[in-house]
Amino acid sequence: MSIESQLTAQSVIRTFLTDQLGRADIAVDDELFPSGFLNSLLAMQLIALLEKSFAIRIEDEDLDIANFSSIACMTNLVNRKRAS
Amino acid sequence: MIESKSMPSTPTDIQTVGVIGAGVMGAGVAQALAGNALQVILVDVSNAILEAAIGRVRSALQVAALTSKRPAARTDDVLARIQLTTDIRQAKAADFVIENVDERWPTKCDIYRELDAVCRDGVVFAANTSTFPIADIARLTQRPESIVGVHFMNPAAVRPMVEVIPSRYTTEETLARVHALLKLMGKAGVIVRDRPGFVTNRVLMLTINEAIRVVEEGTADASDVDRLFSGCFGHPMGPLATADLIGLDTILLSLESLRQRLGDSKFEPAPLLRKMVAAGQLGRKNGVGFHPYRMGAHS
Repeated sequence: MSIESQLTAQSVIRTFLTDQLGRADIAVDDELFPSGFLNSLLAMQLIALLEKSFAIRIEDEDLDIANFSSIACMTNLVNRKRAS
Repeated sequence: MIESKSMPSTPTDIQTVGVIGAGVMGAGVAQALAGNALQVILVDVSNAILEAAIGRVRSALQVAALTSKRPAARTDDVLARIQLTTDIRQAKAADFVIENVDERWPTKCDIYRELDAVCRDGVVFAANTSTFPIADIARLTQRPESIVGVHFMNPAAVRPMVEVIPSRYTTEETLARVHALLKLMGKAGVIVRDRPGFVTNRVLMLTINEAIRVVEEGTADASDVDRLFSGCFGHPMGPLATADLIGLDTILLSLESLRQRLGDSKFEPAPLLRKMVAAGQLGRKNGVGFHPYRMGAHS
């Protein structure tokens, strides 16, 4: 995966989260859901964002909170799915 | 009030359920059935509606998995149990039917007459309505004893309880079959009388309508109204977020029906509700309601 596409994925996810969480200071490695709790509306929106923006299909085995716990983790998931 | 545990119980031979209407509620009911190993025949008038419904079910299953409320079955297995069709005659294979079409009487008339013609004798039709008398629906068919109201709450796959509404024609045998199906779906039912709006809608619609009037009058904005219900009463969701979830068009239809049937002007829909529905602001299902739903949950 090229650096450019990695940055694009990070940028798309960060823009979305900044908008949704109302925080402008989210770092790539910040733990987004430290309590392990992700509300269902945000979960639905994040899955839709990744599937539609990056033309990937998120399968049952991808639906682990660890894959969604930071911008970096989601970027890695996107890159793994696009490479496969 | 009679808890479902007092309903007669019977061994069930229900394996395939016809779900008529694939909107938000129909999709949720289909998910609740297929997620509990039942075969579903999901019927609606267009393939686009059916595909949107499957998208909703898939999305809901993904969310359940990600938020640790993981269903026992795999997403693909659940989806494979839902057969899509635009031909209502396919419902002839159903052992039980749940109807979730729009709350418009002419539509209900057509649907029940068609179902009555194709389904086996004894197959129960559950009207997932919140506005029409179950006895009126029963009289559309030649099987009034097998017609019963089962009012699911949204999201139907998640809510553990339903209202069960027998009409004066409904038999104990029909109630036993409803109970058996609800048990398979992991839900409980509370029996209520066949009166307009039953219990939940009669009270909830008035609350939502009044909350809309409060916003319209400028007493508080939508966000603060909902915050008050959450913070003061511990409701997980305020009345306006609930309205967005149900769909503002559905709220409007329900209020108009209650106003007409109860003859009580307190159910007159708030002008702001009419304006929002006319402007296409329907709530969560299309991304704009009393609260913004950016991205849209569904395409």
